[in-house]
Amino acid sequence: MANLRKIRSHIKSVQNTQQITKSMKMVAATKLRRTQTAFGPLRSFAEKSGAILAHVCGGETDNVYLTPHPASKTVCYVLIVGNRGLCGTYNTALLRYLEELRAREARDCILVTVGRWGRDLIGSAGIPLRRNFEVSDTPKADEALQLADFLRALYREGEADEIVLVYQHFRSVLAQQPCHKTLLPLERPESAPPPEGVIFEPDRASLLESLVDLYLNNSVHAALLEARAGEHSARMTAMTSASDSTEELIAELTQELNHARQAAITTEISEIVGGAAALADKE
Amino acid sequence: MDKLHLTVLTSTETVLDRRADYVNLPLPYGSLGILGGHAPLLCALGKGVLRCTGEEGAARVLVSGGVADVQQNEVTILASSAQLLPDDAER
Repeated sequence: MANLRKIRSHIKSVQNTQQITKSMKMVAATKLRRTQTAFGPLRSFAEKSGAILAHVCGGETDNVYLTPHPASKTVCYVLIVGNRGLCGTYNTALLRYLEELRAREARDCILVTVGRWGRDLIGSAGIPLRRNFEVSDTPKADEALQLADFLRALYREGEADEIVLVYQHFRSVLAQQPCHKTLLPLERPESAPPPEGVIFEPDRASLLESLVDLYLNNSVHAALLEARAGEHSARMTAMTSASDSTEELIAELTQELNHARQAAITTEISEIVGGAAALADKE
Repeated sequence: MDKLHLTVLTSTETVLDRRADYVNLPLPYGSLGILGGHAPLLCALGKGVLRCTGEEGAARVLVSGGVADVQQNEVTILASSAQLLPDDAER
């Protein structure tokens, strides 16, 4: 009987775990949907600003963010990790990818992290951490702006000669892939000649400045959204497989419980039969 | 006179999308009025209130920074941030 009770309480605790993993999966799915809907307006904005940027940046016009520093000595990695764990290999794969990047890099490295996960872990990995940003689960435009402003200042003041975003590229809900993308210096877009007789107000250089700002904010925002979408889908996948395993475990335990119960019943019957036979013998 | 088509975009939403007769843009120094048939124009925006009037009614949008693109009666505003103001806020 003691065994039966033990199995029952085990099943109960597995059921509780299953409830948690199932609800975490649902929460992740909702957050994923919210993040994905934010992509639409961002994309049309990016297309439009890219087209105007191509018109403006042609010719002699120059901008501090379009010009690489003469001597490139320091590279700043911006690592966008998740806010939480329990999302499979999402975070650890990214960390491993960063290590590989660093191993190939001869220049000095500084690090800016985004996301709550693994702050201490990164600190102990021996890369000087410049700053940590916390970004919500569906990154807002002003959070992206804060980060972009900070990165612009790093580049402008010469603290970093190249700024590289390191994050998980969102290929699909089931597949994310670590990737890196150079944010600064900006790659000069292929210039398209502006339409005939277009008026620039106040002038090309200051227009370019506004545009580059918009473009950078947008790139940072897009990377943040992409990374978060990846995090939510990784967590969704992890929680789905966790729920499936608990299902299997419950089935196994139920079978074990039935066996034990059957064995108990059999013992009881044979005891009764034995008892009855003994009484019959007496008579 | 030709009608303008005004779109105000930010990275998170389309704030305004309507036909208008007249659009007034806030520039870093002063403001600029656009009527139908305006010459192609690319301009940087300052902080201020963008106004438009037309058959679909008047609207005011608070913008802070960005660029405006005017081409063939299409006025596209790419703003760092934009907020549609309620009609009665002025009174």
